[in-house]
Amino acid sequence: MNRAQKSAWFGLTMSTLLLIFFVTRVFALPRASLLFNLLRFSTAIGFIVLPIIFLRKTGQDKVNIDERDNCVSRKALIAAFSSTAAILIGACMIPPFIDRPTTSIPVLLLPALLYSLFVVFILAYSVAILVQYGWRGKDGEK
Amino acid sequence: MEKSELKNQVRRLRFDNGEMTQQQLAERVGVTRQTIIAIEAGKYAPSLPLAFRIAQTFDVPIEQVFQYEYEDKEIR
Repeated sequence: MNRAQKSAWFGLTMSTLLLIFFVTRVFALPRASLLFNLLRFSTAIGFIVLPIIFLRKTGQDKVNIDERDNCVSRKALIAAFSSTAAILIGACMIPPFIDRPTTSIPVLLLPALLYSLFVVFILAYSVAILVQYGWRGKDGEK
Repeated sequence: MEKSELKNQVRRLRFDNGEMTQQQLAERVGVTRQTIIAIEAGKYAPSLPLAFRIAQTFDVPIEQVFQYEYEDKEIR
């Protein structure tokens, strides 16, 4: 398993947990709030520590990133941006059809939407990376 | 639209060249071992510069390493 796969597994795990807790919080399930806050802060720290753990150079002579890695990363970025854009468009366009067009929403929903988009981006990027490299570590090794 | 596939002889050429390992080839052409694995398995089509570097490593013309096979023979 290369560093991009490890990093993707980390991103996938954290973003999935965050989305689960986000949903439980939205539906106001008891005790979800505390867990959500704990996870949110630990994830924020994790995303800062992530490059130090996974993206550090392992050796001077060894090739760490090559053209295939760049290609995989570029495709994953496109997939992640597309997913995030689809969610954003849905979040902006669907509510007026559900409720009356003149209904107001709390402004607190805007940073929550931004945060959700970030989580969705990480989730989509991680999935796209793992789909291309393979979910397991061996990558078709013979 | 015709279907095509890029075949390669990298695995055979490695063994013909003193049983070169995937890691050794990767280091010589400047990529990761996973990329060599993906090329051998036909999961990744290398860029032209990389394809030329691989051919140069084995000291053979590029067409001996990679073959572009058309399914529709008439187009050829």
